[in-house]
Amino acid sequence: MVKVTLKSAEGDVFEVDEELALESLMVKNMIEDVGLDSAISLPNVSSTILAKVIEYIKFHMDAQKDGSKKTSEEIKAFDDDFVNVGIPTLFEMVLASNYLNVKSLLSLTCNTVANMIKTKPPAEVKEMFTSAKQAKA
Amino acid sequence: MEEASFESLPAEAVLSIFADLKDARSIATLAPVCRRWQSLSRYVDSLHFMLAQQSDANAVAPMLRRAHSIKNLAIEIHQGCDIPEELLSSWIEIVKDSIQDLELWYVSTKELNLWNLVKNCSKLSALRVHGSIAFLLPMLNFDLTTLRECVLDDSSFKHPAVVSVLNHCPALDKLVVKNFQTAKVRLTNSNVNSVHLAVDRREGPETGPPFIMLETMNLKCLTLDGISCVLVAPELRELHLPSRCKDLIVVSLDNVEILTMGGSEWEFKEIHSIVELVPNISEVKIDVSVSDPEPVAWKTFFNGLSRLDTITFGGNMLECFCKEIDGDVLAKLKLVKATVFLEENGCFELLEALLVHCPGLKVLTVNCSRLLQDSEEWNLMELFEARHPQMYNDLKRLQASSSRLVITLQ
Repeated sequence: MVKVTLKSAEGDVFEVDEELALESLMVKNMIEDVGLDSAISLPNVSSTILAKVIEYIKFHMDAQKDGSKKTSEEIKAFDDDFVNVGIPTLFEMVLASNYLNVKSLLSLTCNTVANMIKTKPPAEVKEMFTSAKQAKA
Repeated sequence: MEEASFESLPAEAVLSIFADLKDARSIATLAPVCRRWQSLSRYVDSLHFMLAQQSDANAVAPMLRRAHSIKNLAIEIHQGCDIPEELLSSWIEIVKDSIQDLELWYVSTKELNLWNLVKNCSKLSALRVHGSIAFLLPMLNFDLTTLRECVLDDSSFKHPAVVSVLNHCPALDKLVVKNFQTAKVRLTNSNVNSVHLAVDRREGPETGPPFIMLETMNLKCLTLDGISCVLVAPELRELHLPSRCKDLIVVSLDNVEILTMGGSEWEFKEIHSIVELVPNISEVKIDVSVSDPEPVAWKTFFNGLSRLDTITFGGNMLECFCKEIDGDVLAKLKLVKATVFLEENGCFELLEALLVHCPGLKVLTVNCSRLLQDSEEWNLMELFEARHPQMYNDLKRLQASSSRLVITLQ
């Protein structure tokens, strides 16, 4: 199995199977352009988030393989647990999945943000979206 | 790294989040505080509003104005939320120049003139209406030249309205009308490709089943659910009858290739007479319960259907073929799926013939439920073995020799 080396913003190195790396269209394009010889540098993705993205892709790749015994409930449970994180982390995951171009993760995280907006009382939603401005000010 | 915030999200993500926000209230909450949304709103082309409370309606118009090129609009109006026609109409007026796909869920006891709503939508291509609207759809008296798909689902429509849809929508490709409520009606449209008509099952039986006359020169696919029909459709390729069709009078169905039948209460001769109408059929799916199964030879039933190669049998239809099993006829047919109901006197001859002569048969289901009637035992397999040891052993032997055989007891 061919391995691909990914380098996070902090410079941490992640070695993953090529098959897994190709799930990110951005990485796929990079591999096509520069080949597999050097590490692929991802300056916009932190180590924590990159590890999570890899975990997500790995789980879904295994679940899709023939002979996988994972039920749709188990997959749903994984997804729910996966996005059960703080708002800043969630936003970082949206950014990372958009940057890495992993469509399924982007739609999962966006859907989670939408659900938060829907279920939170208006005051909290406002706070959620103004906190960044206040932090700058 | 700076902490990620909503404001830092890429445009694609923000638009995707907004597309997932299906209730007007949260959109209204968010819109004034979110600069990203304000700058991106003009790129939004799809909105879905869920109006659960009266106050939710306040958000709709500002939202539609901000996102001024809406192509797809869905409005779900829940019970207890009273949206007068004028208000609904004013919303659609905002998007009239851009809207292509309009979907409404409407629960109301008041009248709604659907056609007035969409009159000025110059690009409308699909119109879907769901919900229990206690109105009678008026006649469409102007042309909707761009409309290709019209779905009138779960509403009560009188026949003239349906006729007018066919007559005033020259580009109509697909028409779906459920809960069709009419006596005699003649439908003509030379362009429509696909028609789906379903009977109104909520009404009492006093009106009798609807009877229509359908004259459509280009019709390719027709679904008639509980509706009797005089049919002139020379180009018809697919005929679907999801429930019993008592009367089907046709001029010619020479081009029909695919026939499916479902439901219960069919009479054997009705099935046979429909199969006889389609001489060039290549694929047939008969998933019906016949009230009066009568023995018939394969040869007689499929006589002259030289192109038939794929048959799916469900229900109890196969019972009719227990007699005079002709291996040569079976070998010519490409049976895909079949269900055999096992009776006291067995059907082993048929089972064995199917396994031997039909190499294409992928799944043969043997249903033993009739042997175990009125049984509340949880382990039906054991019960089957105890009550009918001979049959059980024969079946097990047959199953061991063929992976295609599935035994079911339910």
